Amino acid sequence: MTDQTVSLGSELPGVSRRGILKIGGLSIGLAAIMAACAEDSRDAKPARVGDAAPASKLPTVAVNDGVLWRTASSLHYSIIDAHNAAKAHGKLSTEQTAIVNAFIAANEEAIATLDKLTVDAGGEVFSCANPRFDRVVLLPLIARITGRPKEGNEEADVDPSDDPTRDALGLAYSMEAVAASTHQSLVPLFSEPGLRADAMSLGQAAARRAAALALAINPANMLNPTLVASANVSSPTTLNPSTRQQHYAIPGQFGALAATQLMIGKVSEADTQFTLNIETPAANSFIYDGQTC
Amino acid sequence: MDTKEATTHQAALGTTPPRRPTAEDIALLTFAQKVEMTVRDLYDEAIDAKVFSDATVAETVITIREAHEAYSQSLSGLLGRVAPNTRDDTIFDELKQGFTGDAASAAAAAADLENVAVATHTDLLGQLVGTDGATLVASILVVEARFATVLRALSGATSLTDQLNSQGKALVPSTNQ
Repeated sequence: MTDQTVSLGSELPGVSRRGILKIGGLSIGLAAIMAACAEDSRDAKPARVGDAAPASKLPTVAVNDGVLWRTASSLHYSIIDAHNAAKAHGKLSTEQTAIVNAFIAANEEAIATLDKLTVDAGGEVFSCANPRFDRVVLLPLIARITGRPKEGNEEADVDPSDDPTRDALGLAYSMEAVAASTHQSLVPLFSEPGLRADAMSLGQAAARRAAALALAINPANMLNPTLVASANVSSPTTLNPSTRQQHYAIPGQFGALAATQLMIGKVSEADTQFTLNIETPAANSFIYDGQTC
Repeated sequence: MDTKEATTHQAALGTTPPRRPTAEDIALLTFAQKVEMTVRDLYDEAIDAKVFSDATVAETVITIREAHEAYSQSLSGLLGRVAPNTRDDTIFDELKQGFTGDAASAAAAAADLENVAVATHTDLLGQLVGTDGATLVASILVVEARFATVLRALSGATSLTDQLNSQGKALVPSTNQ
């Protein structure tokens, strides 16, 4: 292959392509050496643009036993709010209202126990609902029952539920199921074995409430049909009776820590509903020391 | 919270419990497995005697029986070669009579038994040091509480108070185990 000459004008007549590559390579090499030998200094106060307030440093927080108890009590406050919303918007019967009232009382008892455990752990009692849980879970769910005007980038208003009783009872069921899962999820986090037993005393009570409500919604919904199928029952009679979401007294063989899925709100023309996976509280929804209502 | 976060949390507390069962945990989990196998065998008594004639009730009881077998197998997996894989004959003989009557009374006896299992596991949970055993026992007892509510309903309890009845005394390991 011949080395063709490239003319770059009058200043550099006759510089070859190979020559350009040599000059370029030399320049890059020199730049790398200079950068490596330069003083390594960083600006402690980099320039800021605009009039933004000075950045405040986040406080250092620790997840201790008191924080776990405070978080649990905040969740029970949120659950009480959910039950009250179910009563307010669910058009419940007298019997259904009595069940929800009993659940509210049980959650208040749980909070009293949790407050004592918080203080025993050296924490400060937290007497409000969990703000993140309310924002991310509870308010969007309630909106699917009541309806609301469109927000942000939404294209349409959220319609009110076409079956508020179904959705209110589904909300109440899912809240008790989440309470049970939450207490279960805290078990490996406590520093003392005795605290795990305290947590599960509350968790199993919530699980019982969820089971009882599932039976109140539909007495036939004792078992998740998939459990019956896996138990090798011939010709099972426990079947899914509807295309809508069912709430089972016994949803699984082991207590699950996966998100509790709730389908809620008006059924769309495509036969779908708004669906939310309700997670148990985690690091971003713990009620840390110093956090107030 | 995942395992990494849990470890970080416990490190912050200055107390990081072991994951694997301690020597004391082994004794507690051994007892838990015996309880689960005893419960399974008691359900077998009722199933073999065809106490539950209604098909839906029968398959509910069979499914609950299968769950208890799964619990004993999970505990066996945790215990390894030291797993007893046998029931507690004393408890079995004591409770067997309740599982051979009519359907309603057998369901009531089963609900009582589930409450005893919940109380027993909660008691064990308060003593288990290793988190692997504790998390397994917690995942078992939370469902056994649901079993108790369902069985109470099958026994004919219609009021919420009766269905939520959680009265049950924890079993304790005998000293000669």
